Amino acid sequence: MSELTYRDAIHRALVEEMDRDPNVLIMGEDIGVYEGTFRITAGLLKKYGANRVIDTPIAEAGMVGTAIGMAMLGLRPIVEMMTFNFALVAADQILNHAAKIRYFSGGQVDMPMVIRGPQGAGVQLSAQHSQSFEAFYGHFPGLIVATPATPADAKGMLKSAIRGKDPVIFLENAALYGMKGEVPDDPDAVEPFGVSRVVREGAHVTIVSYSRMLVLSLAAAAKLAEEGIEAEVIDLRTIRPLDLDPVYQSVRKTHRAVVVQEQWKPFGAAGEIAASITETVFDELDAPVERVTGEDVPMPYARNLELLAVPHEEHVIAAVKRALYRD
Amino acid sequence: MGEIIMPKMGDAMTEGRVVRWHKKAGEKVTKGEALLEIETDKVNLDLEAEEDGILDNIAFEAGAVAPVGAVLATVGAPGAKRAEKPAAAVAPAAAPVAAAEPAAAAKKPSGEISVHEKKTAEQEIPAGVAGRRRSSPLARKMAAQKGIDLALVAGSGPGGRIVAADVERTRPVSRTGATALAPAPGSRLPVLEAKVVPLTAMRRTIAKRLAESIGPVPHFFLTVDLDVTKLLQQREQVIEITGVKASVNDFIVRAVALALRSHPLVNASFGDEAITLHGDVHIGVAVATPEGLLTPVIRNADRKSVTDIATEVRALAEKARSRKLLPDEYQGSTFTISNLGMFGVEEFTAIINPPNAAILAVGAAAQRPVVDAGQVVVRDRMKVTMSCDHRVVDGAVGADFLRTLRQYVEQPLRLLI
Amino acid sequence: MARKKETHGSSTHALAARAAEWKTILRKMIVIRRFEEATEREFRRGKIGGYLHVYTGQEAVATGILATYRQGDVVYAGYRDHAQTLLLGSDPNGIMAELFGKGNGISHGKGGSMHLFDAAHGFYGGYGIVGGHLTLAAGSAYALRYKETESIAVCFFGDGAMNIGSFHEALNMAGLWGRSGMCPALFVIENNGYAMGTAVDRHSALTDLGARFDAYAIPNEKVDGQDVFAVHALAERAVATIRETGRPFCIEAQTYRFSGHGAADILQPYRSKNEVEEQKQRDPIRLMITRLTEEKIVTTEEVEAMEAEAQQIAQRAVEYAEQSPQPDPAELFTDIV
Repeated sequence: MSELTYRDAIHRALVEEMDRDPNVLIMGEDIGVYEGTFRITAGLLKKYGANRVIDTPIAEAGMVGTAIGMAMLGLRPIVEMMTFNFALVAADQILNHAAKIRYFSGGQVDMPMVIRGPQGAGVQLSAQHSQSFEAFYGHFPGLIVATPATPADAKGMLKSAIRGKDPVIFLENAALYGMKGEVPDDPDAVEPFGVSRVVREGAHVTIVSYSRMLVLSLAAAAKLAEEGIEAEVIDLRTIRPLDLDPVYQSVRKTHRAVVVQEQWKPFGAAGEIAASITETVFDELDAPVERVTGEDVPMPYARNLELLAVPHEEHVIAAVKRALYRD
Repeated sequence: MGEIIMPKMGDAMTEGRVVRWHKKAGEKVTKGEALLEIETDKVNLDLEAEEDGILDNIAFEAGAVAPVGAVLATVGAPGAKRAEKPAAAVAPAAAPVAAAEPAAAAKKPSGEISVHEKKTAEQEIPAGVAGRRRSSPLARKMAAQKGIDLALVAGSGPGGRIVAADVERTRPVSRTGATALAPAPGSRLPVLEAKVVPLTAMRRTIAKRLAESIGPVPHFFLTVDLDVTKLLQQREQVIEITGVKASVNDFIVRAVALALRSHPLVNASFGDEAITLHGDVHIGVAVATPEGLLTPVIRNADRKSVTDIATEVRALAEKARSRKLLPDEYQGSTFTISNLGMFGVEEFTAIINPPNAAILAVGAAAQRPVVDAGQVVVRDRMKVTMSCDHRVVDGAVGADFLRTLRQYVEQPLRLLI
Repeated sequence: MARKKETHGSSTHALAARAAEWKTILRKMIVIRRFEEATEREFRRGKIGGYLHVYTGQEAVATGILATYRQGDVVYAGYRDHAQTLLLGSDPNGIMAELFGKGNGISHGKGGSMHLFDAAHGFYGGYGIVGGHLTLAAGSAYALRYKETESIAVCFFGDGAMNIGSFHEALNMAGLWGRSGMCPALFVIENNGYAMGTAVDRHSALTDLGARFDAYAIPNEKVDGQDVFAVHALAERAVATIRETGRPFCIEAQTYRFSGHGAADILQPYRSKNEVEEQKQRDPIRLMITRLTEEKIVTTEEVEAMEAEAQQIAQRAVEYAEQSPQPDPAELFTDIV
């Protein structure tokens, strides 16, 4: 184990996988000479050369589409999106092509590719650079959508993504890049997709979250404990496949659930999760499933407005109390 | 011999109509010649002969609708006849849904299926949705397990929702016990008559208004145990001096009326747009009548003496029982008091009488040991429970009101000055 | 490199030297024609569902170009993809079964007409999003060089595919990568004059479509797409260069489709019957037969035999497809995460 930041954990995963398999290559905007906007790819160009570390034009559809053509022939391309907001330009390539070819070819080809990069609210990045896309991609069969919340998961899940045979939308959170945590050194320690994890046990309420909102949820749980409310906190880790069994198990114990997401409320991940809880453990519920989400507006620029638009600890605490009828 | 088929001309086309035949059966046709006009959902067009020959075996006359793939006619050598009408040999080619689900379609003729489906749909309409009390799924499950009738449980959740905690503190009513009490065969006890009692207009209104109340009004309940030793003594004196037989309840009406003056939020009504704080204090007094509950109103009770209140309550109650109460004698209350003390009920909760924001349920006064300054002493005590509309009255507001009420009740001299 | 912009015709010399090859090409073109006629017929009979786009009239383009195919090359096409699949050696029975939505179709009935796929024969897909597959071809070309092979990627697309964003993104990256020899790709514009029903001069600001490739530093040449000899000659030259240099090349084949855009394109209000009849005078198969009989490379009997054989292939494919079982319901959930 080493203590690494989330950023370094991702960097480490890239290096280990590129060392391990010459078919792994990475492409993206300003990832080589510039060394990456978030410096995830610093040093890679020098180490692996321009054929494996490809500086592309600003052309997301081009990046993703060419990666698909590479993946079908056995390469394992990693596409870095400078931010996932830009990946909308490549939506046709991701959703109509990458997600579907393995299926409509009747399994004749695999699609081992990763599209990774940061998403979510930053600090005053305003409307076009602050969005969250897990529900958007989570809607489409044929994709894997990873939302790691810790450095260990960022490394272990990225390695799984690179070694897999399906396209992975790997959603990092820029606000987590500096977060430190214990990360396994073993280059073959990989984390599977579709395995949620209970990260804090509690008997009174189940808080379901992922990515940066997990950090928020854990902080809220700590404060709630001071008031005698013991929250069980679950990290979903991947949005697709979505493993809700631990959530159902937890709700059978706590009889109430709060789902926390940063993105907008309508048709979001929390809505899907809440509906699944209601479908599966309806008779266990003593209160409606609560959702904590961002406000339903494009991200404003002004700092005070921005802070009003995203969820905070106190929103989680208030939702927990509503679920407990203690408001 | 060539077959002229109804061609699929669009992705979603399943059938087409023969508009007219340009050629008659038995007529000679040449390749490329228009034979007939067909109509699809998008276009009308002519079908042409694909070979030379005699048109024959016309299976779909003008106006007929043919499925895609159906043989409309044939073009062949003179005299070439098919063994049977082509139409009979044609399976409906375009039945994609049926084809995808052969098992389901094979089970029953489609007509029967639809009847069956309709029945199921009717059965699935839950009975009595309108009168249903809100309860959490878990509460329902627990109630079923413990044998508790949810109708008997007061809900403490939003909108009066019965939640797990409410079920937990409710003791189950033994159903087997009821069976055990049933008369044994040959018992001499008179057989009770079973009958259906039609709803009177009044019972209907009571049901409607109270159900309305428990439905949308988020109730919560505050109970206090009041010391009425002094109040009972004072009552004796009042009766002695004035000759008016004022009841304990008359004193409570007066106490509540005065307390309401300092707590306008309790003397209020919730509305869709605003909360109304009433300027006057009009106390509704629940009166049992043979047909059910009526609540005559003591107007401006805060301005009336205990004896005035006593006299007025007596008169109104009498009118209520003889059903002579006028509308303005039972409408317009701002707060209601319900007293079941005379039935020996120690403590109960009442359902708010809309649009009041609260109701006070008064139990029986009884002698109970209490600890006073470290000594166990016997005092006259009485429990009152206030049900509050949480949309107007928060817990602290209700509690504060009850503190004031306690002052009036426990220092009853205040009621006389 | 000097670019030649004039349309190439075919010279008569040396046709006889490759007689066997021409016969194979003719035979393939006839098979495509009969196969496509059968698919249209089966669509009308309601046996083939969804959208159906046939290659009738354009046969010389794919046939002339894919005559240069070598094992290891990868081929991409739009949704007008039956011809390419047949030419690469896919089993006609499997293709027809796929069109019929049957379990032994080449993609187990999960792709259909627009998404034929046969990786074992180098066909990496028909694609239904117009212009969406050009990026894939550029990426595959990169991968072929990355793996140090001499194979190339061939990408067919129509004139209508040249106006979406990923067309530009793909070709810019192809041109860029070609500078370091990392994009051995042949881009083939099947310019049949119409993007569905919108004529080239109504959909493209620059009607010289090949010239658009100048903007991406990709050499480009035009050819008469009805003249299979000319197409083949240009393809041979282009492919040799691509294999050698690892740089992309573009062929603009000017052709014409005789059928509607799709099987549902009945009225064709965007073009006149006269125009279609006129174009049919330049039927690529007829032109080739005339030329080969004039040169005494094939006899009328040989052509008739080819016709009969093609008819039989198409007929057999229909019978095979008809008798094939539907996909197992379990197929619904296979080949997916």
